[in-house]
Amino acid sequence: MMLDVASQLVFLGLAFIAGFMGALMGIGGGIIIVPFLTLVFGVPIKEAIAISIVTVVATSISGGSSYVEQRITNIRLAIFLETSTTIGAFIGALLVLIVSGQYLYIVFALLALYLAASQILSVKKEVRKIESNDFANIAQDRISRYFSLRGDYFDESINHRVDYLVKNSAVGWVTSFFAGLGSGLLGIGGGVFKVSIMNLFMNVPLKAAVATSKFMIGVTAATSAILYFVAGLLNLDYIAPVALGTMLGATAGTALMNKIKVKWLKILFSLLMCYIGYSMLGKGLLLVLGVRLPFV
Amino acid sequence: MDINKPIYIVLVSGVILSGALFASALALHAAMPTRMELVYALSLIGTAVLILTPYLRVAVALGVFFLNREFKFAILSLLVLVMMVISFVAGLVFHIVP
Repeated sequence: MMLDVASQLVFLGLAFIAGFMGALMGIGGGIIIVPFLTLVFGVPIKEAIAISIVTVVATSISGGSSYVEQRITNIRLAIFLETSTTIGAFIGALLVLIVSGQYLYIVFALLALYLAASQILSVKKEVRKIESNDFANIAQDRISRYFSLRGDYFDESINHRVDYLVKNSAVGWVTSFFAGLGSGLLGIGGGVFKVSIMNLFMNVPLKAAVATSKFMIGVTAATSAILYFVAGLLNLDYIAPVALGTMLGATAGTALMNKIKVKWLKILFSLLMCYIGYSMLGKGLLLVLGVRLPFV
Repeated sequence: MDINKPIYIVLVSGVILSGALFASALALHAAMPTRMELVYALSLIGTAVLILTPYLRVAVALGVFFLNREFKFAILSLLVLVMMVISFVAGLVFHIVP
């Protein structure tokens, strides 16, 4: 049965927040949508995940279009990494049929917590590299040079053009494969991992990493969304307010992201990674050992 | 050709078209709650437009890279598109729901 108008407005508002946060952090926003739909509205988990996957597509194309217009997105880098992440997601989805991914929750949780700590520890370094143009003063590896992986954007928070050269493309490609594998196997969004891979390993400034991740996540999410669509798991009662709210939120988030100082963006991103790591650890421990962590 | 422009046009067209369909569904539901079949039809078409936009985005990138004679990126785009289609077909064949 279709929701009443008041409930639709609540959904629209919630989706706006998810889209807004997703645009700031380069993620899909499912981490906000799914718990709210299941815990507050009692939506079955499969339906909630299906709706969340559609919102990932919505936030990716609306946020992605704004970042492309602002010229922060590195389209060539996105396509380079999409090759491994789509292969990883495909293999991950096939592995679902033969293996259980419960231990992977713990692996990805520990990885998320490690990346959160790394983001916090690299705040000063990133600010210094942006101010002294050090993102462009590095030696590129052979693959990055071959594909001419480089980029630039205008940082509105400091009125400064940031140039950068991409490095460690092979490492980025392989880790992006595993981000896709986790996405296919566990149904987790790969956005936070993609942002961290680019920012911490590949010498991509955080804002460019956020914009490029936002652009990329729609590709794997669209494939998953079609499968949910065909399986009849997309509940049309919720789709319109949630998708529209996400799009509006993502548009607002992209208008703000480049105006925020990178230091605060990195701190916010680390807190989000901590939350994701903790919630995945909770899921993993519950599945493997039957231990329930608080608030999970 | 600057790759940013056609990609932007595809993405923003997907946003405007699907957003308009979703907004129409919500407005119609508020104004005429008895016409639910039309509300569901608008939501369904909006979802289809939304989901197909990333596919179109990769296809357009492939075309632009090819026209720009950036064959390395044309091949990478083709690989991404092939993987998206294979994943979709495999999902249907093996009944995989992520």
